[in-house]
Amino acid sequence: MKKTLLVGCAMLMAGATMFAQGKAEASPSASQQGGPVTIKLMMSSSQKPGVSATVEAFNKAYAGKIQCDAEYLAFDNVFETLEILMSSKSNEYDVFAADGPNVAAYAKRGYLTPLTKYFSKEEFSQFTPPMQTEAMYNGEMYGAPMGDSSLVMYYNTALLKEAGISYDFGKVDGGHRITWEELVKMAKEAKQKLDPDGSKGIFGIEFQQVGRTYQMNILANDFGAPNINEGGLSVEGLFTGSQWQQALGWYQQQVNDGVFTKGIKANDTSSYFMSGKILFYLGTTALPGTFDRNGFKDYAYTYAPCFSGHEKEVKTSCGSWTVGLNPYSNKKDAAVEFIKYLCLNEGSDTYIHVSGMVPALSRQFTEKLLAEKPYLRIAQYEGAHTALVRAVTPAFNEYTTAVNAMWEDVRNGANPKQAALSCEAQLKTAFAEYQ
Amino acid sequence: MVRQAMREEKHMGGRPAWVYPYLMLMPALFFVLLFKIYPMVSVTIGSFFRNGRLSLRTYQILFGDQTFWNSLWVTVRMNIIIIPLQIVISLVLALLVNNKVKGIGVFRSIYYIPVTMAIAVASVTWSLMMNVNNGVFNSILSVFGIPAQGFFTNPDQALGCIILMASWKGCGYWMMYLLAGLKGIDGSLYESAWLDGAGYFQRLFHITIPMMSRTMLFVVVANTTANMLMFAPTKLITEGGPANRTNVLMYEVYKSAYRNGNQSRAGAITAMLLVLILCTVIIQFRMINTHDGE
Repeated sequence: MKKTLLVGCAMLMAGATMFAQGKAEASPSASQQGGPVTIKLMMSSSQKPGVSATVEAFNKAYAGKIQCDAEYLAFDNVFETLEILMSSKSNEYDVFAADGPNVAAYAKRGYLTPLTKYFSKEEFSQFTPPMQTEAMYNGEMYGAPMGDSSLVMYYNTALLKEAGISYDFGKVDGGHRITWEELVKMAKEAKQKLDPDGSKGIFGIEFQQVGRTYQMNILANDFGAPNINEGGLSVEGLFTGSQWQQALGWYQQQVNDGVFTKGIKANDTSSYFMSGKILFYLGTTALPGTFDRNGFKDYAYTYAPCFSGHEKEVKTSCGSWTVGLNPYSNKKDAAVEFIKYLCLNEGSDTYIHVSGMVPALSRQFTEKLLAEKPYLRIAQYEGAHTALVRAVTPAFNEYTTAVNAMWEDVRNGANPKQAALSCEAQLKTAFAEYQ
Repeated sequence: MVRQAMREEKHMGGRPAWVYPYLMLMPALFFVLLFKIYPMVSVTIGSFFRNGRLSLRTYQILFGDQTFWNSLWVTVRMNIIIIPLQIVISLVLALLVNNKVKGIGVFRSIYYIPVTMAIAVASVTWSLMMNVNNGVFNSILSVFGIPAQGFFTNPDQALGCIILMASWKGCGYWMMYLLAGLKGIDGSLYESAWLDGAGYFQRLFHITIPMMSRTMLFVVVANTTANMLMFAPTKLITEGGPANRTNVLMYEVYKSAYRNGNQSRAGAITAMLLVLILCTVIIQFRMINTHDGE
């Protein structure tokens, strides 16, 4: 009887699968019916302003031929959704957002189609050198860079004025930066005047992406430390080394002193800055767009700070989203057409104009653009002198998970040495999977 | 008898009588196989494969992984506290709302309301209430001159806060089952015990709890399974931190599968978790069934 039951169940399951397949094969695509080919794009909601404007322009330009339907997912959900869909070989999306540092990992897992055959050498050479690096894995192009990013320090002019603090930001440039020590001193002074009992919840300094390696690591980089050891599959002795320990210890001290925030997540920091709760705010060049949309005007910007005595070692974060082509897409040609429009052709100009991202194409650093968005001059300088690509490793997801946790633990009071040891141990196991 | 059996067989279209119940069970069995057994077997088998080849390497890496052992310990420690805590609170609540007092229905509803709240909403609400900067808990503490607490950001408090939140959310649910069990106890037993001079606690420990052993077995087993698999508060509030103090096994499975794309590791931890739940439930069955037998 048991045998009969099992056979019965197996037949039912097989039948259901065949039925599902039959249905899928039976439904003709739009192109077969003579209408426009519809491609689906999955994108991070953080890029919605720039990408939605580009998609709209694309749909107008390709009316009747290709239609792009975009879906925007919350930043954190992009990575999970991609893992779920691509590990099951889904063709739900034809084109999707692949964060630059993840390109190597996604390529290794087979989530991305090599784009080398779709991009000529001339086309590829239009990308800036750091973006070319980010797009490549094992000599093949896998991700098409939409834009780049850079680190700029914003400050709340109204708060500084209210606190009676004046600093000649005009003298600051790439070679003569404000130091972290000066910032801390000003932040403490301002807090003392504006919020002595802490009841207003005003903080001195914060990173836009607090708790994330992308921006937090620059504290260690500013002391001359790398993000990962040579080869990209080891951090042994790195986080427990003197430079990282110095950075972790310094950060914890500032959190304990109320200079940096505690208990606030990365997604909420911009709201805190715009509502006058943060004095100095280190973020990307995409932020002025957000500030404008929210009617926030009490801000100015300058170069990212450096540590006193480490002026030559200053580093800034860079890299951004690329778009990838789903290897299981059955509309690859239309999808490539869209990718080129977004990353290489007219759409790229629309995206850069609306998003405020740093151009990924050398030709886009025009005087017109720099006049429109003067903060991009800082990005252009940093890109040429201080930009440091994030840890290049096929285990980037594991790396960010562990290093993010280390920063967060140190922020919450964990012993920096213990946090670093724990992080190194976690990554040692994680890297073993790739060796 | 033989004629009657033949008539029954004829009534069932010539099939033997024993086939009928199996046929009735077929749809349910199909879905149990498809949605319960198949994923478990598939995940467990998957954990023995790496790059399409049979391998024990995943388990070799896993057993040498400090994070895994820490997660296992966090899971065990949390469940050692949360399971008895929830059962006791649920039983106390069930006993309270079982009283025949005017307006008792209102209290039943109040205790049950947290159950109706989605776990994601509850997690976000509690994380706001326990926010270190501007949470209502710290505001209340400040009235009494107590300094602000880290709660979910404090390594020594985070797990306790999750247990508190999960118990607030879950106890009303288990209370309802226990209440149903209480309602099923014959009132005459209490009357005769009362006439014999038995006090409240004597009646509780010698009538109520023994008579509820079957309900209790269900609640204990279901509660254990639910808590062992709970990970939403960890995901939404603490992300396993601070210092991995809330990094339960289910969250480790989630990270492996959906962040790191390591299905093999996720499968291996799931298999370990299944074994852990199975062992716990077997022990619980034996303990409660022994008492039932007595």
